Amino acid sequence: MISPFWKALFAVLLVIATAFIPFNQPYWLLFPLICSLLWLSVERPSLSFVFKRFLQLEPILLCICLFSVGSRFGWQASLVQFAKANLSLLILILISNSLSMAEGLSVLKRLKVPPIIIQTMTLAYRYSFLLLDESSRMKRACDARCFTKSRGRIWRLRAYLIGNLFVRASDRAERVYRAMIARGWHGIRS
Amino acid sequence: MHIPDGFLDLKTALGTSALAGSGLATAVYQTRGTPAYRIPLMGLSAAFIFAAQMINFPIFGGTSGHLLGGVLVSVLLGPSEAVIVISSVLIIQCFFLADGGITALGANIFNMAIVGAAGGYFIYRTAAGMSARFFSKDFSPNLPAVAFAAWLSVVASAFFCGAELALSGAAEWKLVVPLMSEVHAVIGVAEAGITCFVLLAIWKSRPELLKLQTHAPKTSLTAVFLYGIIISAGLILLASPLSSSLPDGLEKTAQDLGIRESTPLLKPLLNSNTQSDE
Repeated sequence: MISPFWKALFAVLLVIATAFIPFNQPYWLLFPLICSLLWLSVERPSLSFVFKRFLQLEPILLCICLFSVGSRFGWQASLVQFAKANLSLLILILISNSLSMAEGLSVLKRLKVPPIIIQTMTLAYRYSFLLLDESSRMKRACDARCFTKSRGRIWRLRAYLIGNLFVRASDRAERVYRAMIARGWHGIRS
Repeated sequence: MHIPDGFLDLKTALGTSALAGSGLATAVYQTRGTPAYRIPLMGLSAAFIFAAQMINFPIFGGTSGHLLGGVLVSVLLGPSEAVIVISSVLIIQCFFLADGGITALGANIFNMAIVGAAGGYFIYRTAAGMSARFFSKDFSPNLPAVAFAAWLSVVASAFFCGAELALSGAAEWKLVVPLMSEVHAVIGVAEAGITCFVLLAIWKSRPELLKLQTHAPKTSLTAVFLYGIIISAGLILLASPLSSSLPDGLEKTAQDLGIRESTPLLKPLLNSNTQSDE
């Protein structure tokens, strides 16, 4: 069993190596490709998860690659760039699937990332569930009451929803923070 | 606006990482005395921006945009806290959602946290200072300043994003920079609207949250100076290599009139004066 620290370090180094492969030496792409396939066979993540993440993020890659077709490096360079971007994305999806938030935060702590950043990330993760809960409740209420096809009205409704989401979530977040302190949480400040 | 891996070259990735690192170090240094009661608000803001960035708004031509939230968080918490909040969101998105690349993390932090949040905050303060002459000191009339800063922060972030892609050779400067800026000029309108709506909702329901920022110690001149230097360095590093080699307006006029650089402009005048005296 590889520790999360070494797993994250390997992924970061592999992504860096993949991202900076020169355009004129595309055969180097075989190395990250083999590593990713080995990782896939060892970790055995849900292929539907990997495929869904690819589908969600692929439009951005395609869009930038379309920009690069007309660049001074030509279409061959665009192809290499597209392959590099996709391989890096695959490695990132694999590491995001195999690291839990707690493991990721412990890796950042080991890398001596300032405590205030780790603390903000920890609370962001804790509060994101509160926000999701609150937003799904508000969205359900909004969908049940507001029927419109007007784009302007959709924008206004969404903005109103987001505004009130912050206010309602801040109330709950304060209660959660007080409860955490009552249970002996002192933060991660050094 | 999250740049993925594989599109930035080594020099751009290193340059933007250095800029982002120095910006983040400034923010961490500036927030060393942050009181404990502000920490949950920072966490909540990060969670909020994280969630809000998942909601896409239809723009035009099949494109959509999402909230960046830099000005929103910086008006609520202050520029240094905002840099930390947006950077935390970007790190989470990169490592846990694969949204935005590892090699482009420096560029993404520079574009969205430093230019978007810290830069946006200074635009807001300047615009609010100007509008304070015309409006009362109550927060709500400063909404025009908030809206302008939010819009400009999005356009500025998009400009830097396009410049980084162009500098790396991933796209042509004349194609990517105008297109990114134009699309984000529209997205910026939505950003301005949402930022104003959220701040207005907070002002109506929880005004004490905004007063936290009003009563917080004023942003030090050191922070203004450091963020200014970082953003200016970014502008010099990213935009100057792509500047046009064609002559500017004055040079073109001088060329058309046949005036050479070495020709003293006053010489003909002086000559004519001496001739007339004779």
